[in-house]
Amino acid sequence: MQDITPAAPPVSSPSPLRRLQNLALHYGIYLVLFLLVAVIAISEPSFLSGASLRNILLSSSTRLIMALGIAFVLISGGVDLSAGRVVGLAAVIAASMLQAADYSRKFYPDLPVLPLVLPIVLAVFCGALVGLVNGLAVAKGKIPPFIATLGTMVIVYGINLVYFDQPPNHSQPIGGLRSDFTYLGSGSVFEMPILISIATAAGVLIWVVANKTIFGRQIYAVGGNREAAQVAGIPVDRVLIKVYVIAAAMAALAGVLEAARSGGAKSNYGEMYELDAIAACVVGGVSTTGGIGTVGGVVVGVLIFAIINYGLSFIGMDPNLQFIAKGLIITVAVGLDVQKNRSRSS
Amino acid sequence: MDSLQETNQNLRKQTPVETRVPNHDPAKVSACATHNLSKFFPGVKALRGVSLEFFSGRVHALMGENGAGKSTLLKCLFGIYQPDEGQISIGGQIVRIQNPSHAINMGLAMVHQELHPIRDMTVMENLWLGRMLKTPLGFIDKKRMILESRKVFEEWSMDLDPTSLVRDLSVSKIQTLEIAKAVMGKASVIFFDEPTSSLSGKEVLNLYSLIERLKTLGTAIVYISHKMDEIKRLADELTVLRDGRVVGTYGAQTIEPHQVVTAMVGRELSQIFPQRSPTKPTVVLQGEGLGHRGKHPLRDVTFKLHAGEVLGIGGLIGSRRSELLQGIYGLKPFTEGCLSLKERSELGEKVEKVSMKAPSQALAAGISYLGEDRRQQGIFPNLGIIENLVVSCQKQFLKYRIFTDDVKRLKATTQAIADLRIKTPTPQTLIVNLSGGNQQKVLLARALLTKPKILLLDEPTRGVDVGAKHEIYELIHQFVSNGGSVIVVSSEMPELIGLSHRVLVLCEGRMTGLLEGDQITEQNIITCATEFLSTPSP
Repeated sequence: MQDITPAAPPVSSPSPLRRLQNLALHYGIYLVLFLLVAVIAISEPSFLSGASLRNILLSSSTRLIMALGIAFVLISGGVDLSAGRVVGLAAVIAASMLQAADYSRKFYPDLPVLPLVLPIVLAVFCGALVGLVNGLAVAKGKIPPFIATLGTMVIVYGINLVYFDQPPNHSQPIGGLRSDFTYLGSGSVFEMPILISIATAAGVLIWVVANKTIFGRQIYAVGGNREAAQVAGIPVDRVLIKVYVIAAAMAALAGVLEAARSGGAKSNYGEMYELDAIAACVVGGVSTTGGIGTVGGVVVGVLIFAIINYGLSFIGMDPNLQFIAKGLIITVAVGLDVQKNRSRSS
Repeated sequence: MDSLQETNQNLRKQTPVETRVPNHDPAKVSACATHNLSKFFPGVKALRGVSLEFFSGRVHALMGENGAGKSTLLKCLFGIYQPDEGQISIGGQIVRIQNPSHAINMGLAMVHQELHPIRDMTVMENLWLGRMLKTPLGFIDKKRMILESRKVFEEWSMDLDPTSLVRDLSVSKIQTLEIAKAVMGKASVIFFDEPTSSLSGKEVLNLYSLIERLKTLGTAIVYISHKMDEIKRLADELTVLRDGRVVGTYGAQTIEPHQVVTAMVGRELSQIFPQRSPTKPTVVLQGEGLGHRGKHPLRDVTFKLHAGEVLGIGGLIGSRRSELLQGIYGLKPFTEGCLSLKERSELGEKVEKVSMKAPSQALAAGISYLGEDRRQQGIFPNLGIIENLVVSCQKQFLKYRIFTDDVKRLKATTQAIADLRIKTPTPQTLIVNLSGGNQQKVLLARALLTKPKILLLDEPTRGVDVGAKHEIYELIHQFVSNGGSVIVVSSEMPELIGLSHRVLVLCEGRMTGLLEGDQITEQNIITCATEFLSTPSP
């Protein structure tokens, strides 16, 4: 046969300006992060302290756990709008069973003291069930993910309201949580806040699953080209169902930890969290059309939003203006990403 | 009846070229030209100093292997890419084409390999997109546009209805629509990029007559094709590209096919099809009364596949050849009949009835599949070659039973790249950055990596250049001489005849023939393939 040219001929290297442009495109998101920190630090140097860092990491922990699950869904080519309401449901379920024995307005007045894990596992399990419904609707029912999870979003909120309204509670905020439970949200082991440790562990676990397991690689394949995945013998339905179950279970875990951190729960917990999580993923380079995304990107995306929330309040920016800043960052970040993909494909 | 015979003749490669009227106008008018056009991509010089001239009223054929630079050239002319060096002139004037709509305004039109109409709009809307007629009040004037469209269709004897949805049209009608667009835009140069790759015989004839008519009107036609008989029939000039360079421009009527092949690959291909190896008597797969019910049924297909055999599936578009393969592979499980796999052993045969409900089942049983539509059913565009290659047999590349083993994956990929001569800068390169032929080789490597006993190939060489084609034939030959079996669907007659030990012919979802040995001729295949079709009216 024809000889194959062993090496590609050398190409005239692009101009320095062009290279800088490419660099800015590829690492644009880190640049945004850096600029953000720089601006905040210049206007308020005390921002660069251990306490700030700790606060930022603490506030982003539950958000990260949730965003990691959502990232899987996005990479598989779907979306999960129900995750925010799952946060609320899981928070309420866990909190309702983990109140201090001597608290006066208990959700279940006659409930004995349960082992700490039991309500937590139950809450996460309930979340996973919601995910199973999502997964079945998307994979077997062929309902577009946006619609399927929009439906469960509303249903889950309804279920939560019914549960929350039971006598004798009658929709009162659930408080007086057990100290061993709230310790999960506020305590530390070896100077390291437990919440941050859990989030880190979740990040590592999801990274391993995404990069080092067959299932992880299959998510990318299904999201990149669903029909080709089918042809290649990937059990597409099973992959999709798993993805939605994982996302909802992660959201439920985030909900439980939110309750532990804030020391209480209400049915409207987690409202709009799903949109924040999707935004964080997208800012971190996860494609909403599927097939593309990294765990590292999601971590950066979540951090950017935490820094905006914390840092802009820290320098005393009007909270109303903060919304505008947040929206701008989403748009700019996605704009950069589109440019990047365009330069890659040509 | 006449046109049917004509169809048969045109499918035949050896058809003598009809004597054509010589061009009476010696002064050729340049419609479009490139001067020293170059385009570089990271790692590749896609075009190197290409100078070409396309003349009004003449058909200029472009040939070359995949990756030779044809697509890049078109994209430069259409403003999708900006050339790094050189110039483009249209009608003698040097222009800088900014984007496709600019190109269209300059009088260029393209009938694309993969056509991109807006499927949820009507024919009329697609036709008038961007230049809709308006009523005096500024509203869209549907009536007038439908009327005008009808006029054009009538004038050009195009069989199109302005009000039908594009989604419901066949590939050939969509192509006609694209040509209508070019005609209405008064294009002075029309580029055809492998226009016949998914057309049936009669549709090809229609296309030819349209092109002939455009020619007489003074339109310059640039015709990209891998098929020599088409070029012999249509073209005046023929340019061969290789590695981004012009090898030469020849008189299309005087050059011999083997000279073209030599120019394309840079050496002579002595023999296109490898010698057929003998088959063994053991039956490895047997189908009895297989079928799908439904709107497009497949009925009562019965066959035996032997070890070491290539079973060809012949038939026209719409004969459900692909559905047969998809049924065996479990992509579209059969609703009727039974499929049995036979164990190959000397001590009597162990027959096992199987019903493939999913591709994973077929893969586990040693059946692998290569789909007809590379982009839709084959590649994962976001992923690199490694991931694209190992996707069907991930379990082979594990460590500690659950973690993927990147070293093993890379090794297998490097091996496949060497074995199948896949041209790529690195094993990590995104598959979309490879040429069509190389993408196809990756997909073939994917199928082979599952260590199949039976390989199902649907149009394995579609849109693949001569060199890669030959390599794919060699791979098939190797596979069967090692005892594997192949079922291949092909619309290219020489390929079907050259590869197959036996040919099963389908017509309208029914089996109309099983040809063996000397029976395998184009005439017989066509006769079987058209058995139930009403004779097309001339």
